[in-house]
Amino acid sequence: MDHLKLTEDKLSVESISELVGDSSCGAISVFIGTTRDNFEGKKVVKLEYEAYEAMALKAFKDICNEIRSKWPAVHGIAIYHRLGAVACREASLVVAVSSAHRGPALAAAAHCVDRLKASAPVWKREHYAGDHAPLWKENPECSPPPPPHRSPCPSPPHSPDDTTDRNLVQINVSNEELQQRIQNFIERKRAQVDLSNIVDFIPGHCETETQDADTCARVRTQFVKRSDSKGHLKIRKVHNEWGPQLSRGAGGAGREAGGAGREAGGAGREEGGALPGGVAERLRAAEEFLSVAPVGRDVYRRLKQVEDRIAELQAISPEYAHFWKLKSEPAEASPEAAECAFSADDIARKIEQLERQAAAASPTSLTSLTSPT
Amino acid sequence: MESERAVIVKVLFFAQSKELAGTREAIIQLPQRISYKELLNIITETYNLQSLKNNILLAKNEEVCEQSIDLEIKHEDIIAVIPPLSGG
Repeated sequence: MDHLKLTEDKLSVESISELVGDSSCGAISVFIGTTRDNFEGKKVVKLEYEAYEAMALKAFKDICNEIRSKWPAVHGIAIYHRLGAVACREASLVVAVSSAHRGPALAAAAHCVDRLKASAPVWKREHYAGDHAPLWKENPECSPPPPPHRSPCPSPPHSPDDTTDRNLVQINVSNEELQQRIQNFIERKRAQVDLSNIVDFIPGHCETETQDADTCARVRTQFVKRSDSKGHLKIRKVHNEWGPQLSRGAGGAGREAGGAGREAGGAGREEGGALPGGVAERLRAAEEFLSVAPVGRDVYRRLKQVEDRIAELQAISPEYAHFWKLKSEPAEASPEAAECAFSADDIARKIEQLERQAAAASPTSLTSLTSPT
Repeated sequence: MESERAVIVKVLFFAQSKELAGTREAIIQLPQRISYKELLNIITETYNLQSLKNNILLAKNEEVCEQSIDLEIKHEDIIAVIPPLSGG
């Protein structure tokens, strides 16, 4: 018969030994585990036991089965363990084993205690006198999973206070509080970065124009509702009032005057080397941009028209500049240029096409796909 | 993460682990199949038990888990964190 119990009540050695006694038994071996009043020079005032009760009772039962298979002569086994607070010198564990003769009873009792210390999920905590923190104990018998750096019996590896100079500790708060502070710090920094990004890219949001030079942004955006356009980006235009393109003009005056003078004078001149450097450059850039053929006479008026057109298109919908650029030069669009200027529709169509191909399981060469609208 | 967290189980804490976790028990979602190591990682990370990681055992439904084979977790299983024993 097995008598297994975890109890908060004081253990009575006598009644427990009575449980296992029998008229057929000539021996009852009793082990009493009692609580010590000192540990490493510290005075123990109280002990506390805790158990995973269901599992502990299972472990007790396993030990009993083991004993019975090892020592079939064993008659009764009792394992009583205290839980909760236990005063010093009180019994925390009583094991009693009976058998017909003393041999099996003595051996089984010793084995029972050894196994129990190694396998029963029961924990003991010692409370010390003075201001020593209570300590969870560890049985040397219990074998944890391969311990790389297992400290011997009592020293929980998680108390840095013992090794750290108190003067070096600046913040003394709980783990939770510390995590919270770190989180708050991160959030505050993030908010600061966000704010300065907004200030950088949307001037006028919270600073005046005079501070423009202080930002590092290369691109400025400003959302301005316009009545004649769906695009809301504002364009900044540069008005050069003085520059190389004006310095060599006929009259040295404004652009229109210079243009008129040249028109009247040089009838047969091509733009080649005859044009002032700045003008040639502007014209080349503009013609390249709109992909129109090089022009001869009338250059200044046409240049003005071209520039006006660019300005108008950019003003109406600057965000679509690359689309109308592409449309104006379909003939000479090189494959590379076409590839990097797909519209969202083109891409959607391409994906669809690829999916259909994949479904039909017939891989086709990619060249057939690079066709601009 | 790669496998869906499908079952809900109860985790019990004892002794040191109870103090570190700050609770006696908790509810957690786990995949149906998980290796011992993954389970140990999830539990130690979720419940502040890194300092005990090398010293604890895990038990499922009152049986200490086998470490070499994958665990099958069922709905309402009970996982227990077992720190070094000190009974007797």
